[in-house]
Amino acid sequence: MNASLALQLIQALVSDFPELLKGVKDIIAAIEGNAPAAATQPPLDVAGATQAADDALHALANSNS
Amino acid sequence: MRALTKLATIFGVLAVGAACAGALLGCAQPTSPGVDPHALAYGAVETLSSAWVDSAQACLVVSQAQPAGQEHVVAAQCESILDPIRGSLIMAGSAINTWTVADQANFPCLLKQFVTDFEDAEIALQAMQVTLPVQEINAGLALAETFLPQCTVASDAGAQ
Repeated sequence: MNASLALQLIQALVSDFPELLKGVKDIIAAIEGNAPAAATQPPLDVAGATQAADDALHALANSNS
Repeated sequence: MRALTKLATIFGVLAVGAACAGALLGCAQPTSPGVDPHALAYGAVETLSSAWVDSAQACLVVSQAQPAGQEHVVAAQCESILDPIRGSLIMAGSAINTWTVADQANFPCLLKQFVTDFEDAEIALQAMQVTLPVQEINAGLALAETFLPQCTVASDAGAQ
């Protein structure tokens, strides 16, 4: 399967799911070679995205100390 | 979660495999359409980041289901498994944001470090009866897999 066919299948699949993860849209942009879309991506804030869950782990782990 | 089922299908389709991965990164199969590796890397790390968060939350659910006074014991296990690997994911995300030539060279090994650690974490969490977001994890790992063959000893400058 070449990438063009894969792209067509992906577009067909995601058309039913507008709520799909943003990551999928990024992937589609990537496959399309959509440079403007890539250039306008916000910075990827992994630390921020994972902070709340990490804080919750720390809080519960230390709840008896 | 329903979307994740579809997502898993998408990545099944995307399993154009290593050959396509090479094309995505511009190192083989020039007949494939151009692909922006930065956007692909962004999507991979973003998906893995979500998988990490959902795994942590699933572990918290198991902790909170323990008898009173014991929650912290399991939570400490969750913390010991998941907290150390968060750093390698943050490093991969940072590389995406700067995406210099050096970042691009280091990114596959940064990602490989996280994937290796995350796979070990999955085993440990499953042993604790944590219900993991398997489809989300697999989607992230499938995306990451497109970069991992690029990590060689020679370019392993970023990973430990």
